Formats: sequence, structure tokens, C-alpha cells
Amino acid sequence: MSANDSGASGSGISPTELRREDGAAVFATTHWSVVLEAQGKSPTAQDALEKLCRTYWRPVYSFIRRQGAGPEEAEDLTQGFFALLLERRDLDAVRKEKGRLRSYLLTSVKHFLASEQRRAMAVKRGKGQRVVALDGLSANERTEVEPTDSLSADRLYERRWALTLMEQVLRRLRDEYSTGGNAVLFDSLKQLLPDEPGAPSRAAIASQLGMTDNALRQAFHRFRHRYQLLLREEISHTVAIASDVEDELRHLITVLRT
Amino acid sequence: MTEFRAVHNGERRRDSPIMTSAPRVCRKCGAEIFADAPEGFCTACLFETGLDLLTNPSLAADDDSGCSENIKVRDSIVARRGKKESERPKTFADFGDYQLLEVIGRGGQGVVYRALQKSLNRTVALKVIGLGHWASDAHLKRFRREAEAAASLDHSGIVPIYEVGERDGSCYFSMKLVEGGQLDAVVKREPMPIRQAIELIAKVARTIHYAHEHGILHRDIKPGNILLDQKNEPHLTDFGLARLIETESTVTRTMEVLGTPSYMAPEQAIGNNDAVSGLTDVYGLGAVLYQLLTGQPPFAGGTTYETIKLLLDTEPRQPRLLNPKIDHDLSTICLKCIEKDPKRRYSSALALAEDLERWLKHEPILARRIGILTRGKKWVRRNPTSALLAASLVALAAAAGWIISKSELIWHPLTTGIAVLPFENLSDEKEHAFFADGVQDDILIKLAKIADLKVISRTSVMQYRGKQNVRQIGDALRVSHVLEGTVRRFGGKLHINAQLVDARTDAGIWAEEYDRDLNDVFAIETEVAQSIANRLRAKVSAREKAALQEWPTKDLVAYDLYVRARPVIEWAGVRSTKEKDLLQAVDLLNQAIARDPEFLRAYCWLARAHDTLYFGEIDRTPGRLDLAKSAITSAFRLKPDSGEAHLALAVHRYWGYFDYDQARAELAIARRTLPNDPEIYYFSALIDRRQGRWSDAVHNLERASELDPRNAFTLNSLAAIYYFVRAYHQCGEAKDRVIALQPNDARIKLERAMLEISWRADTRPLHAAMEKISADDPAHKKNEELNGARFFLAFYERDTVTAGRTVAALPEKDLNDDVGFGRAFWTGLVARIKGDAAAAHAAFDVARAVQQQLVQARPDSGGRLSGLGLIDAGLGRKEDAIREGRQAVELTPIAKDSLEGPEVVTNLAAIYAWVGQRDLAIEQLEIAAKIPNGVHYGDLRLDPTWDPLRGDSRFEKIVNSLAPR
Repeated sequence: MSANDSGASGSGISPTELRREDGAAVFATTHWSVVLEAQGKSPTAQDALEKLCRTYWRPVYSFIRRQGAGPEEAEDLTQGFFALLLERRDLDAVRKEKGRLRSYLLTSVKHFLASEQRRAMAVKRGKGQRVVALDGLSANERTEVEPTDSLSADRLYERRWALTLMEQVLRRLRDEYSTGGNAVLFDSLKQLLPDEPGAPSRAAIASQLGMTDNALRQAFHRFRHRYQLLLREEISHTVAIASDVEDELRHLITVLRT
Repeated sequence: MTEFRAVHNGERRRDSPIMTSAPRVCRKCGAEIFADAPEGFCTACLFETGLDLLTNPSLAADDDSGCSENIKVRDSIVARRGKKESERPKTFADFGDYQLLEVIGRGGQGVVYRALQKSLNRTVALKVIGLGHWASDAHLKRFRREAEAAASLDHSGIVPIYEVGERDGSCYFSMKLVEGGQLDAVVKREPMPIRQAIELIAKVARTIHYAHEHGILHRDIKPGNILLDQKNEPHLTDFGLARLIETESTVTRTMEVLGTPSYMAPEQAIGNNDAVSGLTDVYGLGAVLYQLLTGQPPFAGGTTYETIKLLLDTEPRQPRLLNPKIDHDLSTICLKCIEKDPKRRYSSALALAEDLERWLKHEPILARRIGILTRGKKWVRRNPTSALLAASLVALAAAAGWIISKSELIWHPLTTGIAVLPFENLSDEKEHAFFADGVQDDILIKLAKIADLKVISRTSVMQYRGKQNVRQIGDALRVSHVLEGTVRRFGGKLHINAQLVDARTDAGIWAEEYDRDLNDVFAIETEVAQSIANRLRAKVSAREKAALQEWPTKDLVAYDLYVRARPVIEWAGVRSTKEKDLLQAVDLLNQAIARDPEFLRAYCWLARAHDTLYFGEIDRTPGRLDLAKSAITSAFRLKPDSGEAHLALAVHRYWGYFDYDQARAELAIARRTLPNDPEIYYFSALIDRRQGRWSDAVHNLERASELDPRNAFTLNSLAAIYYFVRAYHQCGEAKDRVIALQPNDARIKLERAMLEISWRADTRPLHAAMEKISADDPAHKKNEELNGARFFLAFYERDTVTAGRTVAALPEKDLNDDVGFGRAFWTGLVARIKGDAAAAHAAFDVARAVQQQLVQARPDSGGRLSGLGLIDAGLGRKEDAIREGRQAVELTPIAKDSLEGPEVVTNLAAIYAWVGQRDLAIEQLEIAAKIPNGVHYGDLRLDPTWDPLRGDSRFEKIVNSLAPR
């Protein structure tokens, strides 16, 4: 995955071991900034862009669906879009979008859909070219509600982006804890994260896990802290400059709240 | 595209046939939770958790000032008010009609949030007053007055108030959100050009004038209350803070008075509210102007109290001294505003604005140049209320202890200490681990240069590599804050993550991520150190500030060599490969210096490596010392006042020449710039001890131990000193701490038990300790230590059988080979107790030969000579014995050597006792009983050496005088 500042599990597994378990992408950073800097021309940048695309294809797919494509067509178009994106190495358009991957992808897919290349991609259909793994599309998503106007599509895209990001963060957090043998702890602590009234009380969880209240409080602090770090880190991968992270976070909250 | 039936909330609700269950709703924010929500939680709420939010806004004001005293006070108040944590409202980001998004500022009384006003769907700034500590009606009244006052004003330069209210026991008001931030934050990021600053103050002055015309004073003008919008236009906020005195209680009165003293006018500071007028605001404007022009407020002391004292008693420094770009006119305007006598200031905010505008138009200003004479006069002296002043200051001081921790103090350090933990190395190459350590060390070194911070030394923190429990670490090291981080070096890039955690609450209070070029590493280190110092509100002197920005070297390869060499030197003492390691370190450092001949630290460590080789008896040639000296000379040439260089020289003089005086002088200089280096205190303590300054020695070792709490060696030295000065209780405690650090060390445990013998003449603890160690040691690894203890015990208990058996296993020469004795001597002593004169004689003969050699090797050692004297006494050679004993005392008098001197005196007492000169023996014992490192109660009682004196009333008197109470 990305540069993993792990350490939340506290189980004694060293970070190098953790990352070895991750297999593949140990080295490459998935920072969007890397891609921008290199103008997408270097292999590292290509690599980074590829990984980012693999993580964030879902919003693109949802957008395309909302634009009127049926499930199979949307899948093909999504594949085609990313294929073209990765083939093309010029990212000048990005500067206009204040350097955020989210905006960049949205603009790009709009251009893509509007352009003639669609036709060309349709021809490539059936050649088995799979650039991004579209597995995991739930039954719901395949039969998603039919489209309305494009404004909703934009909002849908943004919302899906936020959800994807959150999934990514939670998955990483879960992985860290699982690898440390703390999967149960993760499942327990996560309930406390949104601070929802009516969630199981800290005391109840503590006794369930056989921990003292104090120990649980500490564990939760670390958990939440780690979550916050991962959240920011994940966001930072999609923005060009570090100071944009807060703004992006606020934007995503607004997107979800309106 | 086909239109579809209108869906509720756009795309959110799914009318898909698959959805059969009713939509879930978030109990916190009321939004719908969809089936695709990750983990089934309200995603928006999850995101908000990611922001820096607090669970209860009304207790928010408590949150940041973290000193333990403050926490105690807060806890007691909370307890008194009967609020338990579980009773706190669970609403997280919700505050009635407002949804809290983010903390954007903290003040002495409340917290300011960015919030969404739901009913009107607009983003506002929401200030919530923390009433956790004082919820008096006076306070509430004051709050309302502040809000109403501000609300009545309508001016583009004043932040409009929208709503005032109360909720859950907190008061709040909402106002327009000014994006851009507080003036002080903005200028911290980038200093403002002078013209711009003047224009800004002129605008603010006119705004203030408007308020004055409407009968409202601000009373709390400071950079924090001037907000800048996107166009850098100023907007004033926090009007009033109504400093009118409501009650006559001293505490409340003081509380009213205190705010931010740095910008406070004198008449406010002494609580003279009748004298507060529009001119007070003029002062505030001037103080802010001063800050903008010079980068600091006109008065800033270490505490509120000190600041106020400075403010009342001293004149501000000339702005032109601090910033040469300021011309005379500006300086005059500025100083005129902050005259102590209100009548000497600008007559109104308008007058100030006009003069500033004249300056902008390059017209002559109206303010008269302040003459030298008038500047000298102190306003306070002319003021008849000086008695009142004194009383107020006293009241301030009394209340200050409590109030200060609550109010918005500028300089109060938030920390009782910080530990910089080893940074985790996330690079793929293992060799970059050294680099990661280097980064941590550099940051530690930088922070350690700040006298206002207590920074734990590297030796103690290295043990926490990879450990996570910040609270435990904080406890063990006795620090309130911990800095952790990760370093990832890949190719020519660097990724560093650093976070500052409050160890008491495990709350992260600062974090930053750096994604830069490798060459930026030192810049990053500087930024981190500066941010930490800032966050902890440490007082940083100008020199310390400059020191923070120093880079160890410009050459990264040289740096790599250095970070590899340094730990080797540090830990060389404990390794068997000492010689090879040190020589390798020397080589690495020489390479580093070849690459960067200005690498100061490398020179200092090179000297240390050489000195270690010398002192560690690997290479005791003068040539080795010369190499050290040459490195030190180079260091001084680079930076004559370098603390590190002075420390290196001190160690060199100490280890190389036992030149205590020069070492001491050098240490004193080093201490000024290296206030957190435990070695300085450690060496100072050793010298103090040697030179008889026992009290200083104790303090220095205590300080060294405080900075290096996990260093068993230091602690043991501290225990030893306590022992020498007969502070047995403290000695025991210190030894217990050493045992806790090194639980496998048998020797320390035995020493701990032996303490009880010297202290109380009680041998049982030593028996118990021996048994326990023996039982835990089936492999007999601890035999050597156990044997020594067995002999010692047998000797004292006159168990000649065991003594005879165990003496054979003692080493031939004592490790402490200046004053100690070897096997032959003890054999003689045992025989003496048994009454076997012949055997004793034979043994002492052997011992004599051994000792002779030792004396010849070091003829200047009084200790060795006195040993010879005692052996001669055992052999019946009385005249020789007495002569040698006396000569020994002349060689090493107490005045010259407070450590060895008393031991020689004790030996002389023994010599006299053995040759039958009782009176002289008692005389020496009387001396030894009074000085540190003399004799102890238990030894006098039990040691057979003193048998010839038993029964003598004077002897018994001495013994009793040392008995434990």
C-alpha cells in the first residue's frame, strides 16, 4: 500500500514485517503530489497513479452509471477511462483543479465521456483489458437507481469518493490491528469511534474484553489517534500540498452533510 | 437521459427493490445511514471524528493548559460541582442550532469554533465560554455585557455579533466568521511589511475611535483579538471583556485584571479601573504596533507577574534597536502610545490614526520626539498610589499561583519535561536506522539547548525504542510530554512524521508530516524543534532561538558517518569489543571531518573517542591525548563559545589529567548553553565530591539523574554520594531504583543489603539477599559476587570457618586498587581474629610484598601507602606503620581529596589502634566520624578491625553518635 506509518497494533510486530505481509506495493508512495511533480512521466509516477486509480475507481464508476450507462457499459467505460488516463502522460489540466485528485478525476471523466474516445474504447471492449479491478461491486451498486440530472451525478461522485476514502482508512486500520492479532480489539473499539449516543458504553466493552476501564480508555485514545492519522494520511495522498488536507477533510464533511 | 421519479434527497434514498429494511438514522446528527456506509456507521460523523473536536464545549477551555497543578484544581472543581465524566452530554459536535466543525482559537476564557448554524445554513464563529471553573453570576453578567456591547456596534472593522445565548451551562455567542485568522498567527507565518502594518493599525485605530464615540471601550486590544480576512482587512473582536470590578473579592479582582499582560496598560495592570479610559485602548494599539514592528510585545517576562513588573518598572526597548528599518518618526509614534502616564499618550485613537496616516503620506507627524530626560522618569514613582501598587502586586502574586495556570499566559511553559523518543525507521534499508536515530538525536539536542525546557537525555530514552505506551513512558521518565516520530528515507527523499503527545492524557497535541528532499533534513529538524518549543510555550532566548536553527553539517555523507560513529563511542564502555569499536569510530569521524572540515560536533566526538581510549586504559600514551586535544582545538576554532567544545575540553582535562579545576571551569561554561546535558552535571558532581563540595555534588547528581532517569550508572553514583554523606535513607531509595532498572544485577542487590549493615549494624538483610540470589542462580553465575559477600559477612560475624573458606576465592588485588586490600591481607585478618599469630604473620608478609609493589608504582598515592602502614601494623612493625600512616595523610589530605582523604584517615586510626596508640586512634576516628566518607555506625560496631578500641568510653561515644535515630 502506501508508506505505512504503522505502529498502532502494539503487538511487537515490526513495521517491516507488516509491510512484507502487504506484499506488492511496499516502496512506491501513492502520493498524488508525486504524480504531479513528475508530470506523470516517470515510472514512479505511473506506478503511483495506477495505485491511486485502483483505490478510487468507484466514484468514477458511480458517476458514469449516473450519467446513463448500464452496469456492463459503465464497467467498460471505467476501464477505458483509466486505461486512457494512464496512457496519457500529460497532466497540465490538473493545475486548474488546485491539484486535487478528486477534482482531477471528475473533470477527466467528464471530458472522457464527452469525447469521441468513447467510441474508440467501445471498440476495445471485449479485449479483456482490465486496468482496474472492479470486483467488489455490490449487487446494490449494479442495480443502482437510474439517473437524474448531472448535478446529482457530481454529488454522487463526491459522496462516493468520501465513502471510498473512509473505507480505505478503516480497512487500513483494521489491517493494522488484525496483523497485530488485535482484530477483536478493533471491532470493539470501532464502535466508540463515531461517539454515537446509544453505542455500547466503554465500561461494557472493557468488561467484554477483560480490560480495565483505564486500559480501554488508553487503548481507545491510541485507536482514535491512529485513525485520525490514517485519515489524514489517506487524504494527503490525494492532494498536492500538505496544507490542503484540512480543507479537503472539511470539504468531504460538507459533501456528506448537504 | 430518462427522467426518473423524484427521489427524496436526490440520490440518497434508494427505491431499489432490494432495499427492504427501513433506513437507519444516526443518533448523533440525525442524518440517514445508508447501506453502503463503511462499517455501518454514520460516515459524516466518522469524518468529524477525524477533526480536532472536543466532546464537551463547556469544558473545552480547561483542556489545553495541562500542568498537573491545573489538573488538580480543575478536577477538584469538577468534583465539587458533582459532574462526572459519564454525565457529560454525549452530543459530540452538536451545540443546539450549531454544529461544531473545528476549533479555531482558544482564549483565556473560552474556545472559538467554526460552526454551522443549521437553521440559517451559514458558517459562523462560535465562542463558547468555559464555565468549568467559575460559573459565578458575575461572570455570566460580564459575558452578557461584553456581547451586548459589541452587538450594538455596527462597523466594517468590528466583527458583528449574531446571537447570544446560554446552553448546558455554557455561555456562547456567535459572530461572523472571519477567514484568515488572528493577527499574531498571521504574522508568525510571515512578518508584515512595515507599511502594511501601519495601514492596518491606522484602520484599527479608527475602528476603536468609532467604538469610543459610542461609549464603548475595548480594554483588551491584542493581536489575538484582531482578525484578518481574506483581503487582510482587520476586524476587531472580543470587545469589552468588561473589566469593571463587580465584587470586592481579591481573587475575582485579580482575575478581572489579568488577561494578556503583555499588551495591558499600566493602569489596568494595577487594577485601577477608574483610570481606565480610551487612552487605555490607545496603549493597546501601541503595544500591538510595537509587536508588528519589532516582532515582540513591549514587555514580556517569564510569568504574568514578571511581565507586569517589567511593564510598571521599566521602559520599553527602543523599537529601532530591534528593527533597524523603523525610522524615528515611527518609533516616536509607537512609544508615545505606550507611555506609562496616560496623559502623555495620544489623546485619542483618532489622533493616533491621523498621525499614522500622516506618516503614510510622508507628512510630518505631530507627536513630539521624546526627550532623553522625560524618558528616564518613572511614572510609578510620581504616582501616589504606589502603596496600592505594591498591595496589588502582592495580591497578584498570591493569586498568581492558581490564576496563572488558567489565564492566557504568553510564556508559561506547558510542560514539566519532554522526552524525545527514538524515531522509528521505516526505510527499507537497515542502515538508515542510524540516520533515523540521528534525526531524533538532533531534535533532542536542539530542544535540550532551551533552558526553559527539561529534556530527557538520550541514554534514558533509547531504552524505549519501539515501545508505545506513552503514559508509562511519561511516568517512568517523569515528563509530561513525549515526541515520537518515524523516518523514512528512500533514494533522495525523506518522509518524516512527528507527533507531540501529552503523556498524562495520551492526547496528541501536535503532529506534522514532512515529505521532502533528503537535503532538507536539517531544516525539518529545525521546524520540528521550533514547533515543539512553540507548542510547549517554552521561553526561548534569542541565543537559544539561533541555536535551534543551527545545522550540524552541510554534508549528508559526513552526517551519515557521524551518526554511525556516535553510538559506538557512547556505548563503548559496556562492550568487550571496546578497542575495535572506538578505533572504528575514530576512523569514521575522521572521514566525516575530511568531507566537512566545519563539522563541529564531529570534532567534539572525535576528542571524546580519543579520551575514552586513554581513560579506558586501551591507549595510555600522551599521543592519544594529543589527538584529543587537537580535535578540541579545531572545535574551538570553529566556534569559540560552543558548549559542546567546552564539555569536550572538560572531559579531556578530567580524564586525561585529573585537572579538576580546569574541568570545573569548562563545565560551568558548557552548562550555560547545554542546560539539559546530564554529563555536565555528572562530571561536575564528581569534581564537587572530590573537592569536598558535598551538597553541590548531591544536587548535581540529582539533576543529572533527573535528566537521565534510566541511567543506572548515574543513579548508583547518586546512591554512593548519599552513602558518603550518611543519608542512608536516600541511599536506600536510590539503590532500590537502580535495582528496578537492573533487576539481574546481583552486586547492586548485595550492596543494598550491605547498606543496612553500615546503617544499622543489621546483617540479616544481607543473609536474605544472598540466599535469594543463590536460589535464583542455579547455574552459579553469580558466584563471584556472592563469595565476596559471604566473606564479608563471615568476617563481621566472626565466623572464622566460613571466612577461612571463602577468603581463598577473593581476588589477589582489590579492584579499587588505591585503597583496597587483596586476598593475603584478608587472610591475615582472619587469622588474627582466630588468634593464630603465626598464620597471620605469614599472610601479612605476602600482603606486604604485594602492597610494596603497588606503592612503588604510585608513590603519590596516600591510599596505597596507608595500606602498607596497616599491614606493617599487623606485622608488629610499629614505627614503620605509624610513619607510613602519617605520611599517607600528608600525601592525600582531606582538603585536597575529599574522597580518598577520609579513607586514609580511617586507615591511620586503624593503624594507631593496632599498634596500641589508643588516644591517637580515637583522635583520628573523631575526625573520620564527622566527615563524609568517613566511618559508619555499623562498621564500627561489627568490624573486627576496631576490636582493640572496644570498651573505651570515648570509642563507644563515637559509635553512639553515629547510631541511627
